[in-house]
Amino acid sequence: MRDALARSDRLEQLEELRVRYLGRKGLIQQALAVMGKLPAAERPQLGRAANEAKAAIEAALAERRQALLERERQQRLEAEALDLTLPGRPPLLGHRHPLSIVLEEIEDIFLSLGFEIAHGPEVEWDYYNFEALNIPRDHPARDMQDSFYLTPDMLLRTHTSPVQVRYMEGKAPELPVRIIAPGRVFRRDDDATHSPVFHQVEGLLVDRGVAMADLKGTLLEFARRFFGPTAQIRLRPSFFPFTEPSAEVDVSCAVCGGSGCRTCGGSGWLEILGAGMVHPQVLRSGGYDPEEVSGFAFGMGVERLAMLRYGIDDLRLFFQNDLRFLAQFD
Amino acid sequence: MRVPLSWLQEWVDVPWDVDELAERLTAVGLAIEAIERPGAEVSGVIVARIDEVKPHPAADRLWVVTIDTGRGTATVVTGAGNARPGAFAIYAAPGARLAGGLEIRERSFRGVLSQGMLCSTWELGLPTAAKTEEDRLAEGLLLLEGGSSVRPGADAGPLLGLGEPVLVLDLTPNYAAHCQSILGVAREVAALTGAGLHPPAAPVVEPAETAADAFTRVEIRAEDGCGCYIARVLDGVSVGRSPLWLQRRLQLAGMRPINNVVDVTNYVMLETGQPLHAFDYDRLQEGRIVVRRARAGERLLTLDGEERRLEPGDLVIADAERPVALAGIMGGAETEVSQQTRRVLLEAAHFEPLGILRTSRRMGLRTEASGRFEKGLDPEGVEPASARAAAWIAALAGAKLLAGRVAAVARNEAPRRIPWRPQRINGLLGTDLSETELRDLLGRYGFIVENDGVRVPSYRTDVFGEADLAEEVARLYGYDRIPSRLPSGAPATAGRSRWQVELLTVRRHLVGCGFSEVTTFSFAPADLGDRLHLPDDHPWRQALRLANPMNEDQAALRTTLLGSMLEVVRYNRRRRNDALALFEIGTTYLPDGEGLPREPKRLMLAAAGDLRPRHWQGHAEPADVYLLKGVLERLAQRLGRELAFRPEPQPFLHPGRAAAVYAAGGAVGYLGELHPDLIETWELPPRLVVAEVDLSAWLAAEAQVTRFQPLPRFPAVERDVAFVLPLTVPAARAEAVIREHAGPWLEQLTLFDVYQGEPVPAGCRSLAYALRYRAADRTLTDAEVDEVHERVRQALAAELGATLR
Repeated sequence: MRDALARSDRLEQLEELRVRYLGRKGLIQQALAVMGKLPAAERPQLGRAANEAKAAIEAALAERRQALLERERQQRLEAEALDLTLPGRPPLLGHRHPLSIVLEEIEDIFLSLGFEIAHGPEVEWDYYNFEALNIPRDHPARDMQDSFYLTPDMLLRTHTSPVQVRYMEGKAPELPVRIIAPGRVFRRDDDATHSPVFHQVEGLLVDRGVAMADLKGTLLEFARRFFGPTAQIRLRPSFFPFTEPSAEVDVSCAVCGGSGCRTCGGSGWLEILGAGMVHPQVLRSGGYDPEEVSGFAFGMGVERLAMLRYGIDDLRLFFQNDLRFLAQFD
Repeated sequence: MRVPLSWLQEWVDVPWDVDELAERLTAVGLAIEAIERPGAEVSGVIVARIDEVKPHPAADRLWVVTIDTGRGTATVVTGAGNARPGAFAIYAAPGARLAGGLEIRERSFRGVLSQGMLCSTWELGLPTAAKTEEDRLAEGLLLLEGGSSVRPGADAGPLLGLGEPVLVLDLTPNYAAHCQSILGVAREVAALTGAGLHPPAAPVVEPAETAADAFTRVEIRAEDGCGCYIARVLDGVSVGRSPLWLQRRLQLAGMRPINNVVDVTNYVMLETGQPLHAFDYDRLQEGRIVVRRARAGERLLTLDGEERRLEPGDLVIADAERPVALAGIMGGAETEVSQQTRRVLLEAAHFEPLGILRTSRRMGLRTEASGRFEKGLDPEGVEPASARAAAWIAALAGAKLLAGRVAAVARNEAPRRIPWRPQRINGLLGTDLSETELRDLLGRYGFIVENDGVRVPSYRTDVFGEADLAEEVARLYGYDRIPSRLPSGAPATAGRSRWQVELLTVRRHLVGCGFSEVTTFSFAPADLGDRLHLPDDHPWRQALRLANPMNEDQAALRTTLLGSMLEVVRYNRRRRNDALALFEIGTTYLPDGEGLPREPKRLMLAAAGDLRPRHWQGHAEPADVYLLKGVLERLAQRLGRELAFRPEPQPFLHPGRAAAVYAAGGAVGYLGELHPDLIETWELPPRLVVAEVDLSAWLAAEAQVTRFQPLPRFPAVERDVAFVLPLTVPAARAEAVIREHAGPWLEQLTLFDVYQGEPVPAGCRSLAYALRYRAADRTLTDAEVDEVHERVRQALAAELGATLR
């Protein structure tokens, strides 16, 4: 029996064995059939032995059956094997523009620092773009940015700073003013490092007792979240008509960590934004009293940050929209 | 602004090497663009005297020059036309190195051996006004006057200051006012070191007995344009070349030497920041000066040879009759100092900045002088500069300085004062500096704290208020020492607005649908309407025009994103990026009367080709109108807004494949296949499909709030219906009939097959719909459903003439 069991490797063979041993005319039944001929005293003994044999055979059969089923399943699964080195089927997903990715990240950082997002028109009055920002007509600073005009009073904004005044006008005298204003800006310039259209993010915080120390802390926090936890910033005195004191802000080069490389021109620092304390004249334009409140403002170029983030070396790539470029992001 | 280090060191002690100096100046706000060492790579050049100049026997434009090198004679061939016997030139012997690493060797020019070469300014790596090869040739050799140091064989390196460091400053407008001079930069250095200035003395000259006021008178008629005017007169002037050291300094500072008189005016301007001008006194009518506004119709021939038409606002320097100089900008040619000049009237004046800026801008004439005046100069710097320049002219041109000066003063400016509130300066910076520290920092920049406030030095025309004082303190104290802290005030009501969130949703949705985002300029070509075959009265033609566009393709502001998108598609097609699914969320600009334009944001979609990348499992995803429609419909669901598509022609779309897109408030866009004519003229991929939606209009409507629908508790019954209809009957019509007759039990209606061709008759198609019926409160019986479904079938036949299959 054991040999037969071991030899059977198909379920049908097991069934044959079962019938042979346990069937109605099987060997066990045949054995029990002779029981009547035995003395009464031996009958229970034979009965017990037959039942035990029956149970043992059933168990052996079940065990073997289980093994065969298992083997059959194994074989089936083996036959179903797939070549997982074949390429996967890519989901049809597009790509966000790198400027969108970077802008959204900048927005998220400042949202988490308690800023809200404000917007202003891209076609602006000369007043908001210049005069309200302490850049009167004929001011030498107007030299710094050549503008696209529609009429003598209307132009494409040359920076996102007009949003400062527009927002303050709507908010004064309430405090705090705590906004970033991302958007498109325009300058009459077109070469490898200048684009007539580009993007800025303006920041403005006005409240009681705001100091340059708050500006430094805020920008350091931004730099660490955007460039990494070890980023350092450096402020250099500079000039903007709408801030005083003013600063150019550098961040330690993320490529070399500050030791100097090709990206940072060997200086270890990368210029990323301009900032300063809001000029009293601008606070007044916005409807706030510079004796009561103070504020800081900053403006950064989204293209510049995206170029640093991804190592992009040509500004024009952002606006050519070559699919081979776009597909590298997100 | 270019500052030769040796010149700066004449005025102030510099305890640092040039690199550290540059770093420290940058830290106080004087950005150093570069440190140049002109001629540093030049070696082995010496002075030689030219003894003989002969034309080259075989070449028209070459000369054979014999020179005395101090160690003998040599023969060199030169193409410069200014070699003359007796002059001293710079000789590069074989083995010498010139600018750009050029190594000199003996070389034959058409049969004549040249033993080295004679050098031009440019070849020595020194600054020169010559920009082109032609200019350089015209400039010729650098020639020197003989002298004790200029003798054959002398090393030319020290003589010419080869390799001397020059700081190139990129000054911001505020510092340009007081730092556009050696003096100004020296003041900054002195503030940093804490040591004083030591201005080099001008030559001492014995004034003549004759008084200047016997010769000239000065009158200011335009008092708002000129604060003061000082004239000095020099007699017996001998105009000639300046000494070499003076020429070198001018060149290192970026100016061209002209003659000893003009060079002195430039030299003193570079030193002190105060522009000066020298007139040929004898060419001034009546020898006198009138500062006035130009009269209509007046003209002036300026030194650059241009005849300038003056306008009544322009400030001019006139003599008794006519303008002789454009005040603060450029002198006139007729009164220019020349070889014949014997008497010089030296002008030093204080002009109002904005007028200078306005005139120089209008004329497109920027000069060293105008660039200084327009920033606002030190009113107290006029007299010292005048005296200094007069002394130098007297010394260098052998002239007699007439006694005294002739001056007119329109107004004296009182020193500016700023309230002294130390706590406010600390408050603005976030510092905690003591009053003494603040006084000291300000004092080093020349600001004096007095009883009635802080007195601003006269040369700080850029400082007006406490914020400016705070900056002075901060830059000298060090921006890096200001503490850093996070703002303590309350946050704004943070978070994105609904609109801002929805724009992000739109972007995410499209990316999730396989579309890639593009970013294009806001401009449109002036003739975009024509290029899109728009009728004359199409609203998109009402575009705002730029007054000063950079080119015709960017002459207007876009009213649609379609033009920009087609450009992007073409750009990609030319680079064989054939499968495209692109979108842009962008601003358009719609004129609104006299006011600012409206700036609705629009969504633009475009797709072409097979979007599914080639894959071993097959599968195609054709870019067609149904793709765009599906993407937009799903977007509408996501945003909780209605969107409907109605067949409607658009001038730029395929007439049979165009729809208008409607939202609750009306039409918000279009969808369709681009017109084949446009595909051809724009060189676009075939079957390009596009859609554009005005997001501002569409999303202005309130979003429908998502309400949960209980999941069905009873089974559904499915029935199909297939029927043949003429092609002229839109599917939407059949759907409407089905919905009308299927009643409330119809839960879902799905078109699962559209078929044209045998055995369906020509001009017809077969549509097959699956209908799922379900009741909310019980299990429907087959009989009930059959009855309803039969009604649907009959209605299709009766109302549309459909042939049921």
